[in-house]
Formats: sequence, C-alpha cells, structure tokens
Amino acid sequence: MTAEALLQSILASLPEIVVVAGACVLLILGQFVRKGQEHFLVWASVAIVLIAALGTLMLLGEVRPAYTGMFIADGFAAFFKVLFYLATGLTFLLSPKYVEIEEIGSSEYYVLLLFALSGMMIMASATDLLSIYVGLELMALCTYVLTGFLRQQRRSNEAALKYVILGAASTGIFLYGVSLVYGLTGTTQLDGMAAAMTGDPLDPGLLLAVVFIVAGLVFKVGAVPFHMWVPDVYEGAPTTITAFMSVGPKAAGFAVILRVFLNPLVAASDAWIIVAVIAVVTMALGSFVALVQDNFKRLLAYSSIAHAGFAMFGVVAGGADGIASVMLYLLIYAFMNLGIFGTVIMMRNGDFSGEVIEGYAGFAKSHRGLALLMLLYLFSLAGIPPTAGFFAKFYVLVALVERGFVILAVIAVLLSAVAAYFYIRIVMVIYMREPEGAFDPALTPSVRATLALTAAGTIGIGLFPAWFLGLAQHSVFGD
Amino acid sequence: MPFPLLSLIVFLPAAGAAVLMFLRNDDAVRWTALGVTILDFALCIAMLAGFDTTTHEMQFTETHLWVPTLGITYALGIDGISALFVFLTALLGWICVLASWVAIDRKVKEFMVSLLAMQALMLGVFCALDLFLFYVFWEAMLIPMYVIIGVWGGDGRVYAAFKFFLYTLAGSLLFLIGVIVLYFHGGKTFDILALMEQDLPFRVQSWLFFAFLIAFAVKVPMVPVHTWLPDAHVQAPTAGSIILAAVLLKMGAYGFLRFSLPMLPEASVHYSTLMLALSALAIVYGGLLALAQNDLKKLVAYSSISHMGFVTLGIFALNLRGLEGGILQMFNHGVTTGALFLFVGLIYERTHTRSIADYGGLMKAAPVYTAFLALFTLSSMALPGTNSFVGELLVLSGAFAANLAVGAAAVLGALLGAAYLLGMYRKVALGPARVGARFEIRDVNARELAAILPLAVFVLWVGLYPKPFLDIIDASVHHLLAQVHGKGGGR
Amino acid sequence: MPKPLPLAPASPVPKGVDCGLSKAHGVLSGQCDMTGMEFLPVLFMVAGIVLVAVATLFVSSLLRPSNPYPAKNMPYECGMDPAGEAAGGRFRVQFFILAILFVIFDVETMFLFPWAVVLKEIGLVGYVEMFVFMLLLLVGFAYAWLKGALEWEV
Repeated sequence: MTAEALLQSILASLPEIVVVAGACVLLILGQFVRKGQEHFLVWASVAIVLIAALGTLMLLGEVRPAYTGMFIADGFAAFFKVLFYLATGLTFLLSPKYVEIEEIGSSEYYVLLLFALSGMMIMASATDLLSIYVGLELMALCTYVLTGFLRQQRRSNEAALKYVILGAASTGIFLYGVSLVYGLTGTTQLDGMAAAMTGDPLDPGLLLAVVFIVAGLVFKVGAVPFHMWVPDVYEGAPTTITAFMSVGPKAAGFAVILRVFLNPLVAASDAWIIVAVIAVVTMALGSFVALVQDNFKRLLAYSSIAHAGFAMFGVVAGGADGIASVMLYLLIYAFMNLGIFGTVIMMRNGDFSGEVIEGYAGFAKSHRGLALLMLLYLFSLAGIPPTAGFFAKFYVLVALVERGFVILAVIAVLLSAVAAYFYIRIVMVIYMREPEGAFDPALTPSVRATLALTAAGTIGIGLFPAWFLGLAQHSVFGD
Repeated sequence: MPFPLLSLIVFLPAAGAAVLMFLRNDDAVRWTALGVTILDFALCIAMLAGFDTTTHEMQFTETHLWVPTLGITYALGIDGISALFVFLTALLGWICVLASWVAIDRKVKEFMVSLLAMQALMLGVFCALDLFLFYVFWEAMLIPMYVIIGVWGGDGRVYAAFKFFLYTLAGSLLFLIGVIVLYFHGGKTFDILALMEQDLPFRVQSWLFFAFLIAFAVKVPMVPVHTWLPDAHVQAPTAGSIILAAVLLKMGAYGFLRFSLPMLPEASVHYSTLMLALSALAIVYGGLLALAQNDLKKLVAYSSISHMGFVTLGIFALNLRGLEGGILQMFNHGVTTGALFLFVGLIYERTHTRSIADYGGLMKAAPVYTAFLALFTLSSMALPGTNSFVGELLVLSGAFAANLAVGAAAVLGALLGAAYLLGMYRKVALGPARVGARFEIRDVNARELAAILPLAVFVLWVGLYPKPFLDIIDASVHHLLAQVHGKGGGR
Repeated sequence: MPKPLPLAPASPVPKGVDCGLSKAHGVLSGQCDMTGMEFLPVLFMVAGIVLVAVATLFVSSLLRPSNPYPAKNMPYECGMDPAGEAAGGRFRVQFFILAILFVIFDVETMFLFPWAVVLKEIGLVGYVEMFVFMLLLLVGFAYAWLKGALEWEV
C-alpha cells in the first residue's frame, strides 16, 4: 500500500484505532490503579467509547473503502457501530456496582469489553471474508474470557468452557467455508464472491461454501440449530456480560449475515426457504422453551433466541425494507434488552441474586417506579404498542408482507403471541403476588442513567419512530 | 389550525394519570381522578353540542404526519357512528371512578392511573382515523386492562387476566397482518378514509374479512370465541367489569362498522348470512347459559354475550333499521349492562357473595337499590319504554327483513332474556328477606346514587325519546349503507 | 432483485493462479498442473499405513495376555516409585503460560522473516506498519510482565 492509501485507511478506521489504542493504554494503566480507584477505569472506558463514537459520526457522509478492499466505512457500518457503542457504553455504566458485589472489577474486565467492541466494529465494516474472521475471533475470544469471569462459580466456568468449544467449532466451520470460497472463486472479497455467484448455472460447491459461512455466523446469533450454547452461557456469565452479549455480538453477527447473505445470488435462489425454516424453528424454540423457565437469565436467553428468530424473518424478507427492518429491530432490541438486564443487574445486591423469577414477587408494592420500568421493558419485549418493541415487529411484518410472505408473517405473529405469555407472567409475579421479603435494589446513579436512557428509547422510539426508521432506511442504501 | 378538541379529550385522562403519579394521598388521588373524568365528560358534551348531525363527514378532524415513509399519520376525527361511543366512554369514566371509591382500598393510585390510561386509550380507539393509530390504541389497551383484572380482581384473577390478554392478543395480531395486507393493497396508506375508497378484489376482501373477523369476534365476543368473557368479567373489580362490558365489547362491533363494512363491502354482503347465524347463535346460547347461572356476575356476563349478539345481528342485517338498531343497541347495552355490573358490585361490597342463593328479599332491606335494579333489569329485558326496546325493535325488524329464520331465532333469545332476568330479579329482590338477616345491607348512599342516576336517565331518555340519539347516527349510517351496497350486491 | 449493498471495489484476481479460475465454476478443468487422478498413489499410501498400523495392533491385542494390575499400570520412572509433580497429578501452570507466550512471540518472529525480505520494496510505509504490529505485541508483553506471568516460582 502506498503512504497515501495507508493514510486514507487510517482515517477510515480511526474509530477502531481509537478503541484498540485506548484498550491497550487502559490495559497497562490498569495495573497501576489502586484498590478503591476502579471508577477511573469505568470513566476511562466510557470516554474511549465516546471518542470513538465521535469519530464514527464525523466520518459519516461518504463511503470510504480502506485497506485495499478489506474494510469499508459506510452508512451501514456506522449504524451498527452506533449500536455497538450504545451496548458497550451502557454495559460500562451498569458495571461498577455489580462488579464490586461480584468482585470481578479488575481492569481486564473493561479492557476485554473494549477489545470485543473493536472486534464487533471490524465485523461491521469488513468487506473481505478474512477481515470478517479477524473481527469475529477478536470479539469471540474476548467474550469467551468474559463469560468465565466469575471464577469462583462453577456455573461460570462451565459456561465459558461450553462457549469456547462450541464457538471454536463454529469458527472452524466458518473458516472451512471461507477456504472453499477461495478455492472456488480465487478471492475472499465479498463482492468478488458475489460476482462469481451471479454466473449461471449455480455451482453447488459455492452454495455449500456459503451455507458453511452462514452456519458459522448463525452460531453467533444464536439461531437454531446452533443455539445450544445460549441458555447455559447466558445463565453462567456475569449478568453485565450477558447483557452485552445478548445485544452486541448478536447485532455484529446479523451485520455480517446481511453483508454476506443479501447479495443478488441468494436473493434470487431458493436459499430463502432454508432461512425461513431457520427463522420459524428458532422463534418457535425460543418461545416455547422459555415458557417453562424459572431462572430470569435463562428465560431472557430463550427470549433472545426468539427475538433472533424474528429478526431472521426480516432477513428472509430481504430487499431494502427487509434489511432496514432487521437493523431497526436490532437497535430497538438493544434498548429493551439492556433495560431489562439493567433491572436484573440492579437487583443483585447482598444475598439476593436477582435471578429467580419467583424472587421478584410483589416487587411493585415497594418499588412502584422500578416495577413500572420492568413492566415497560417486558411489554416492549412482548411487542405491545405503544412501545418500541411493537414498532420493530411491525416493520419486519411490513417487510415480509411486501415481499409476499404472508404465511410467514402469520406464523411470526402467532409465535409472538405464544412468547407474550412468559413476559406477562413476569409482570404478574411482580404485580399480582405478595412480597416475601424486603427488596434492596442497588440503584447507583450510573444504573439510574442507564435505565433512564433505555426507558426513553423504549417508549420514545415507540411514540416517534419516524427519525429512527429514516436512519435505518438511509443506512441501507448507503451514503 | 382549529382547536384540537379531540386530542384534548383523548389525552386529558392520560395527562391526569401522569399527574396522579405524583400524588401521595389516596383521597387526593380519588378526587383528582374524578375531576379529570368529569372535565373530560364536559368536553365531550361540548363536542356533541358542536356536532353537525346533517353530514356524514368526519368532524373535529386533526391530521399530523407521524411516520411519512410508511404512510402513517396521527389522524383523529369523529362521525355519527363514533360520536355516540366517545360520549358513552366519557360518561362511564367518572361513573367508574365513583364505583371504585371504596371498593378499591389498596394501591388506589395505581388503580386510578390504570383506569385513566384505559380511558384515554379507549377514547383514542373511537377517534382514530389512521389504521396504525387505531391498532396502537386497540392493542395498548391490553396493558392496563391486564393489570386491572390481575391486581384488583377476585380469587381467580390471575387466570382470568392471562386468558383475556392472550385471547385478545392472538386475535389482534392476526388483525395486524390483515392491516398490513390492506396497506399494500390499498395503495400504501393507513388512512382509513382513503382505504374506504379503494376497490379491492373479492378474494383479497374475503381473506381480510376473516382476518378482521378474528380480532373483532374475540372482542365482541361472538360464539365460539367468547370463553374469555365470563372469567374476565367475573374476576375483574367492579369498575373493570363496567369498563369491559360497556366499552370494550363495543370496540369489536365498532371494528365491524368502521372497517369490515365500508372497506370490505362485497365480502361483508357475501358472508352476512354466516354472521347473522353466528349472532343468532350467540343470542340463544348466551341466553341459555345465563339461565343456568347461580353466580350473579356470571349471569350478567352471559347476558352480555346475548345482547351483543343482537348488536351484530343488527349490523349484519345490512339495512337501515338493522344498522341504526345495532348502533343504538351498542349504546344501550353500554348503559344498561354497565349499570347491572355496577349494581352487582354495590351489593358485593356489602355482602361479599355473588351467589344468587344467598340473596332474597332485598326489597325490604334496600328499597331504592331494588327499585333501580328493577329499572335496569327491565331495560335489559327490552321492556317497551326502556332504551333496549327501541334498539331491539329496530334490530329485529332489520333482521326479519334480512333473514326470516335468523330473526325468529333472535326472538327466542329475547324470550330467554326475559326468563333469566326476571328469574334473577325474583330470587334476589323479592321473596322472604333472607339476606337481611345474614348481612348488614344499607341502601344506596349519595355517591352511589350519583353514579346510578345518569344511567337511569339515559335508560328512560333513549327509551321514551330516542330521536336525538338516532339523529346523531343517521347521516353516517346512510353513508355506510351507500358504501356497503353501492359497491356490493344490493339487499 | 434487491439492490446489492455497496461494497468496496473488487480487487483483481491474484495472478499466477490459472487452474481455470477465470471461469466461475468447476474446480479442476483439466488445464491444471495436477489432476485428481495423480493423487491416487497418495490415497493408496495413506490407506496402506492405516491398514498396517490397525492390523498390527489388532493382531497383537488378540495374541497378547491381558493382566493389568496397579503396579504395572503406574508411569515408568526408571524403576523407582513415581515422584515429583507430574505423578501427583499436579501440573505447574507456569509451563502452560510460557508455552502460550512462546507461541505468540514465535508467530511474531515468523511474520518478521518475510517482512525483512521485502522491506526494500515496501519502504518506509512497510516499516511503520510492522512497527505498529510489534508495538501492539509489546503492549501484551508489558502486560504479561507486569502481571507476573514471567515469574517462575509460584
């Protein structure tokens, strides 16, 4: 690369550089931070995220290809990066009290989250299969370690081990697909792959290669049949990390799927049947199995699977509206999910683990405002207007019907009705039972700020969706 | 820009609910809620005073862009059909607050907030002129209703709340798909008035008719998707039952009037026989079930199914008398059954039993109460001189013009109505005074009388001089008939 | 057809690979240097090796006596009783840590070799790029040092 091309690339990838550099600096500085000064780490991390966000926003406006076609900074990538900043930033805000209670507040926690953020950003911007892999692995390795952070708990160790083994297997499948693509087309560039695919007749080897690649990615998203890790990992990981994982890596996986998958070949072929089947089964499994859960985190894991299934319906729909609907769905999902996880994190105080649903019985009696917030998040997850969750589902349904998949839309809403049951069951436990003891939520200012922001997003996007809808639609077409 | 009266009417209760959140004192909460609902009612009367009964056009309209890229607007407006129901909802708002004055003694603030939120959403349903906005109000209602039934209800309240929520949700979601399909076939707009102008192919109309039917049939409720109603009505607190019976059930029928008939005229005409049959089934089946009840509240609940059968009978007769009768009957049922649930609630407050066997000879203990109970029982039975008589007469004459067999079955239902209502009255109010010995029954006090009187006034007013009410709906009904028969087959 | 997402302009297909890849289908088209049939001896060899190994082990498992007892199954340590950490089932983590660190820095060294070879062509830009790479690994090294990963005794 010439010096000029290098400088262009550096400019285009400035946010990623900021995050990586910030993480490295924090890694070393963190060794010199004394006990009791951990707040410095939190604020430093948040500052890094904000600076990177500033960088991304300033780079908006033109499409910047970088690193000889391996990287691109366009509107699509920017949308997802803002989502990642939101997820990571809010995770940082939720962390201080929680890590203090669980005693996992070492500097590595924050650094690993920042590296995971950089991995996700690379995934969103990648236009080459190998750079996708780099981002994927960077994000995945950090989340493997973060899952096992509660070293004293067997549950956490087990979760990390399961995650590592299954994740490594899925990455292996992904790489196998990449190597097949390279062998068949001679390039790992995404658009090179797309160009090779528009040839007629369709090479079954190439289709197989794409199936492998998507299989590796679908693992990250948590869709059936690669969903086995989700409940155990979500239950075992520290709740802040669960919150992060349910939003960030899922969105990153979808970003890559949308870039890889939605090229003319696959849209024209019959591959949509496979995706439709995956979407239906994923949503069905998530909705039905969640009905019998009594651990909050596990229930949210299955709900996460169900929501991933609904987002897959948007992928099935395809087209500009389909892609925009998936993007908007993931953004709204970030708000609602971080909100509900925020309340679970907040409840973790002293002996109360905040994980058993029955433990929340009668919460509304003593804490009206917080119970109302939980009601808001839960009804948003169920998809009841006027919350944002309804609009997200609505737009995906519009995209489905627009392309003629009315039967799929009917299946999606019926499964939605099934899923509504376990959300309103939690509302029932909170409002309609008698409390068994006193509640003592750990409501720190930063948790308050997070809950305020997520609540504002959940109800705000529901009441005034036009701007966000425009954002998503605009990002699809690119700038 | 003209004064946004409808937005004010719709959102005033919501603003009141927000204000209530900050009050501490239970009494302050009650008085504020009462004040807000009475103010809303006053605004509603002002709106009706300015209502032009000669035109079928939408009045007091407001339109703002909401989500332009999807053709969604914030559009409110009323015509003859919806004006009556906005009035009914506003009327019942403060009556419900009065009814819950002492019945709700814990978490009063949350209850009033939920009630006011319900009020705003119900008013929004009747005023919405954009299909998406309508759906948002329609579905959002589930949240406060679920909470009201589940937190302040009877012993089986959790089961009833779940059943109500999931039943209604499933129906509404299928309605949503219908809405989206209609959006695409109707030229990518959610505007109700524009969609009414569209000419849809018959196949599309059929599918949409059934999609809409599922949601509205669950709400009305029509047999066989009525099973949520007895549980929800019985387990809900008094105010919840009143609101459910008086307003929520009307929304299903309103859906037929606002969407199925004008937008899907050929399908409506084609399937009208099926709907008439289902209505007759509801009338007779509801009546038979009510006849078998020993629980006072359940009896009134099943009578609701029967009465709403008359409403749908009138609507799907698809002629002038049927439609006018159906709409008037919706208003009447709201007044009468709302009053009946109020009465059940009042007596339950005193005795804490709903079993009819426990009652008898109430007349001696509470004469004023039983006098008014007689009025409403006779009204429910459609005695001439009461409101329901006018409505049922119009409905039956319209039904006979549409389909003789169905009309005959409906008359049988009216007979059953007399049977179980008179039977109920005899067992409860007349006979030896068993109840006075076991419970301390005090007669109605001033507050309760204040809640009962307006309903009694409307029973007699509509029964003896229905002209003002029929005038309000007349122009719009004529327009609706033109929409249905202009494009569809004549009848 | 949905409009494809805007992606980076395609880079040219790498030169020097000409096994019919200019056509977008098929793996081998007969114009390549190696055909499938030429791999057949390799398959025979692999099959032969596996067969010999399996056959030997199988036959000997049939012919040998099987009489295990605890003393016989203990790990062999020149005739004496097993002593030391490995026998006790304990494992010194420092070995593992050093091995991992070795792998990482060995791969770094591995990258240095081709870089050094082409340094003249890629000039200052290439030098700066490798410098950044080494700086990132240096941060990792500093972290490992500060954390005490390089301490041998506990």
